[in-house]
Amino acid sequence: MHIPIQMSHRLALALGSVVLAASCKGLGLGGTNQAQSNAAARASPGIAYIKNTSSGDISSYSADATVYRENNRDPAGTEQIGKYRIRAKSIAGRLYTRLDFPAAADGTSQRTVLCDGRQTVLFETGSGKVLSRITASEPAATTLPERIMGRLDITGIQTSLKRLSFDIAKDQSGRYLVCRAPAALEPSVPDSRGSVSRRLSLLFDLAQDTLAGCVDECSLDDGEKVTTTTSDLYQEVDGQPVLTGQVAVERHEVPGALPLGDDVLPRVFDPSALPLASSADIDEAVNKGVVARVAPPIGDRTDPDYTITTVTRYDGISLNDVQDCDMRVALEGGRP
Amino acid sequence: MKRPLLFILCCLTLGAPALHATDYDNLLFFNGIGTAMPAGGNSDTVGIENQVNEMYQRYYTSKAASSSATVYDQKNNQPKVIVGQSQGGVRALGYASMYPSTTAAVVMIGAPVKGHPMLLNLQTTKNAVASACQTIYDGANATLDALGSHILDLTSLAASVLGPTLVDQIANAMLIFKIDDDVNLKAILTMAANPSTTAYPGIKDLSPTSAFFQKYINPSASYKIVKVERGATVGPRVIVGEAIGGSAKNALSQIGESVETPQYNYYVVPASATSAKKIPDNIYLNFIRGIQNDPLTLLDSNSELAVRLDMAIYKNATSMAASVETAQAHANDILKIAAALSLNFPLALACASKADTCRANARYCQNGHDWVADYVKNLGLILGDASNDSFIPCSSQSWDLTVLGGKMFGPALVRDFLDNHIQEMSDPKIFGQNGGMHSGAAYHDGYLAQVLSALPETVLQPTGKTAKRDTDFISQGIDGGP
Repeated sequence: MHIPIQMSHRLALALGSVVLAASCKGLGLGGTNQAQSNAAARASPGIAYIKNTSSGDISSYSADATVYRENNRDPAGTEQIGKYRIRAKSIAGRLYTRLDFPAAADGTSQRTVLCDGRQTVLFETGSGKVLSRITASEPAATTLPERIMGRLDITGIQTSLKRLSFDIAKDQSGRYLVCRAPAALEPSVPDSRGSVSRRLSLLFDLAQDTLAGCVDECSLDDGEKVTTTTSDLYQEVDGQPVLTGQVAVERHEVPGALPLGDDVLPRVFDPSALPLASSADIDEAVNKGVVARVAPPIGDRTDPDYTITTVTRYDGISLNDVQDCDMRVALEGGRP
Repeated sequence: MKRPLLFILCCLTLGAPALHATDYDNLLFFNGIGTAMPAGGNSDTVGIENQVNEMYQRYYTSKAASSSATVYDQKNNQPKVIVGQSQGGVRALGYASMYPSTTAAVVMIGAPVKGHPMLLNLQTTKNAVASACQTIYDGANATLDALGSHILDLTSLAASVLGPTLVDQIANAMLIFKIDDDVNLKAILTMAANPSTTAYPGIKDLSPTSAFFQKYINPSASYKIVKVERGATVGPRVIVGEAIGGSAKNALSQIGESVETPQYNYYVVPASATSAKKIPDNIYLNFIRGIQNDPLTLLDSNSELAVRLDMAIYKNATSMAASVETAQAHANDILKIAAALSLNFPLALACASKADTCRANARYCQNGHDWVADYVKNLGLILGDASNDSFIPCSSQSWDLTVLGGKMFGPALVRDFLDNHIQEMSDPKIFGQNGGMHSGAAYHDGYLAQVLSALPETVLQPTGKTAKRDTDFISQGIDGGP
């Protein structure tokens, strides 16, 4: 994943945040004057509140996430499907993640999900009422270091991956290291989606020293093939790559073809080629005869393939500003 | 509610004698077609033209064949007011078109009088139903995966809603939700699966392009698709990368600047704005529309209540599961990065895989939730919606039946007193207390009487005691019944 420096201003605008642009101008990790950072943050809403640590490592991360989704066959186009606050922190060798969802228009109250790898708790943010508590059947046993983001040691990575028998190659540009996992490390199947086989590859950005993405090739029991390419987007803040977004492209290749019968709708549905009518035209048509609202898949309607693109955009990013108490509440049987 | 209430209040205070039951013996009642609407015993085994002919034979030419002949022979040769509900309304229009000399007026109740748009695109309808079933099923399955079966009882839905064929799916779903198929969805799906089938001719003829509609009701034979702008959305432009082995410049995806994209609704409309009128101008028409802007009101009250309860449970569970799976996806994404930092690649791979699965599950849950939460729109796209005059009529009051011919009579329609499609057959506010399609009676305290009172005396003055109804023949076993 590469976000060229010259794109930074446009990207900052695109992300609706000046967090990173401002950060690059002097606000940063370790060695930065914290008072200066906080003053800048207060002066300009959206600028990250960056709290120093002695090491300068990123041990916690929080951001406002906005999620968009598009199905390339759906006439509805790109739609915003979610907005919430995400917090993550490494505490005592374990990753704690917290999502705070706002109240929904349908009356659903504010909700919070907390997970620590062993338990996941969903509760009403205001009342603290626990709605669901799930204990992982196979809790993560691994102890994590304090860092949850940072520059990778690419040399060490290559050595490690070779030892694990990953198939390693550079892409055509020479920028990305494509590391295909050996069969022994494939995820277990079948899973809840009905996978019969899965192959994963990790992609490392040699220019930014980051884990830039993942390709998940999955065959389902009904013959469908799903390839998910996840791109993690970073921006450098004082030499440290900070997560600013993610694009997940899920391509579904479905066997067979859809029948069309004698439908009035044409085989190839091309919205751009359709005549534009006014609401008054439709009202008049309603009065004069049958009018049927339709939403057929775009393109060749016999083709069942589709691609779903999910974009997660992080704004208002703060580093090292997550409190332990906010992350541990409600876990391990405690009350929120 | 104001108009019928006002009408009833007026009767109570000013016209108490009018509450006495007075029937009309020159009405013919044409039931709809469905589980609880047997279309005069014909069910859907013959086409509408044949159904109309059979009605004509019953009421005008072969009274001796019916043991109930003595009930109505006095008015036998006079033109009748045909009251048709649902598919019966279309049959009534066909009757007026085919036998105008025996028809004084037609009152249609919740009828797809211009043809059912759902039948214009059978395969699209079938695909939409399949997609809806899959969406609901996936949402239930992912919810069970996320929260466990203890959190809600969706197990039976997840296990049963998808059968070996789509028709089975619908049958199963209807069984689970205790739904009577009075919109004939099963018939429509069967026709879509096999367009050359000769089954369900009484439903097939409801298509605006059917020979029956072309010949007797609405001659629009060709249709076109138009789009209407409905606003715009703003979202990030995505520069989609290519997977491994792709071009050097775009190995992975990037987010571009935000862009505004116009949004459209798409409509199938008649290709020609003008059409020849098929109903003679001297026949009076009135239409009492149902309130099926909400498709669940097509169900009877108990089914509607059960479905609404199931939907509430489903929405709550899928919403919770979507939140949990979203959190799990984020947790695994960050854990993946942290694992790579510490060179723990088996963990990074496991987290990447888990994150993808959780993201997919979150989407399944969210899609299921959104589909059910927005069921009026989503079912409307399948069954017809506010833009058409199908079983779910439009919300405006601007129907113009005169494009079919005939002339409007009676008060402007008032439709907010109807509860659901089935109740249209016996709603006391339409037929009066104890009146209804099945009882074959309309009383002066019902809206129908108000409508009929507007008929010119020279055309018809309803008198007498007993109305005709096609259900006479069912109860007497003449047609064998459905």
